Amino acid sequence: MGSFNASLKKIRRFLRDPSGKIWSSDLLRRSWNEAQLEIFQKVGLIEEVGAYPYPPQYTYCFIHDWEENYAEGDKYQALNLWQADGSVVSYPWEPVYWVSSDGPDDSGTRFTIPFESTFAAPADYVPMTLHAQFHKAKFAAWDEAPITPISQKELAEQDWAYRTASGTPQYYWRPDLEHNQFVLYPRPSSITWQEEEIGDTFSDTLGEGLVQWSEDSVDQSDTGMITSTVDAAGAVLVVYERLPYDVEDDDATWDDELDLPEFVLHYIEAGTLERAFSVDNDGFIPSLRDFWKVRKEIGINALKTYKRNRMKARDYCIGASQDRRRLGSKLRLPSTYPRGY
Amino acid sequence: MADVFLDTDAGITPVRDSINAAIQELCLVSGSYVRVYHLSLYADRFFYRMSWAKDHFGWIVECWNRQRQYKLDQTDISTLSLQDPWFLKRGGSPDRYMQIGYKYLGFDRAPASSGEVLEITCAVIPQAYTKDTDPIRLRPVFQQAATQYATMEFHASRGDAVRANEWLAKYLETAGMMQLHPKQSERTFEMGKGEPWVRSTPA
Repeated sequence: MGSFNASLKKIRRFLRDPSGKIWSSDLLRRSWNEAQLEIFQKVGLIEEVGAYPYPPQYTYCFIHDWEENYAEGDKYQALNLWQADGSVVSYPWEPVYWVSSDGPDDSGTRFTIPFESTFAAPADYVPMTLHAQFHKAKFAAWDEAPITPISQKELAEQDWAYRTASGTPQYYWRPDLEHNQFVLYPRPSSITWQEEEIGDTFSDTLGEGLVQWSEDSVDQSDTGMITSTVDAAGAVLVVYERLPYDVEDDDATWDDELDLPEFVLHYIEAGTLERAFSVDNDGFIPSLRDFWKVRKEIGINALKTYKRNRMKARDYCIGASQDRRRLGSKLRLPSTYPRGY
Repeated sequence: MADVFLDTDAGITPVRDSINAAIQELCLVSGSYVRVYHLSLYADRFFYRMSWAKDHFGWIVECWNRQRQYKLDQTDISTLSLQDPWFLKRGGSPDRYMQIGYKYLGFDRAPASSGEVLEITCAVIPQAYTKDTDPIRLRPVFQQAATQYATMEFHASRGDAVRANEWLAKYLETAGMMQLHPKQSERTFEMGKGEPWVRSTPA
């Protein structure tokens, strides 16, 4: 694995700007983030497997929008923003209270921390958080049985009580893309408690959890979901594609190992150089911009070829699946047969 | 190049970086370098994250269960969930495998007990070499292509885009990877001596 600083040194060599007199390091960092986003959106190389316990566990719970930036990790915004005056209300009768004290009754209990929903009849859905860099879902299962995506509209047309219905989850839906959440429908009626301890999350002991052999057990724990030791039974299992993390503006982190395969870094460097030579400053050189653009596109094509190569061992057939019969190992003749003299 | 790049670790670094990038690209596309990964299976585990100490995982060429003398078939999570929605609930020695991303493997089914070992033959991408004594994992024709790649980057680092493009074309031709060039798709191939392809049968 490489670090951003190691790549920055290479980029500066090609820019012929070792001291940053033309291109600042921060400009190159932002170009790097753009380049890696472009490449991974086009290629979709990073796929992960994760399991989410139910009820969902959040690191922080907050009420007002301004609080969000003071929390980190998994964050849950509780209750409801009243857009009319910017305050937060718990129940729908509150906004109408000054007009009439006979506001609508609520149909259930409001909660501030999602696990509370399991001890009451919640008035609304219980959102679960996805990985911070989640991009596309490939597969999802509840309690080891597949569940399929469904739109909120389809769900609402089928079941007006979809927000509070409980049972065995069959579908999942996403309220929006910005909040990076998904919701199970119906809400699980039986709970398999899988409480995460700090020691579990940071445990690197072989044999614990979903992942057996891990070189970086904490790679998802501070920015997204907690996955390390969650059992798929009685939980949500998701196979998903994600995007890479941005390089942060704090240069103290630039020596950290990037969470990307080493063979992709050359292409991100090319994409960064393309952008650097496009900048409207003393370093604007169209011929080099075009050269590095071609190098980046060759890299994207190489990565697409790599993804196709991963399917090389597949058996494809048209129509009905191929009927493959194998001899069991007990029925096979010994490798020494017939005996040679 | 001795007058440009000193024959020291620091002096040769730019050349070494270029050759490493070339080696990785060539192996990434061609799958010419293969190694075996031994994966020990654990009871009730479907998914495994591999950790490669010496190389980077590319893709699986063959997955062999030596204990059962059995070759596992390749599948993927979408196909598997269509063919057998309950696959996560089944136990037994795995018959099929799937690759997820560049470090996860999944199996249909999860073994009932720990102890089986799979011999997984994989196309891999070598780690960057750092010393003169490190082995170079390239066929001779690819070694020539790698030197052309390094020459390309040398010219690019001198700001000469024209010569860098020339060496880029040489590199791709030597490696047999011209199809990766983005302008390749605009080329049309026709039979004959430069005559236009007959597009309709004359009456």
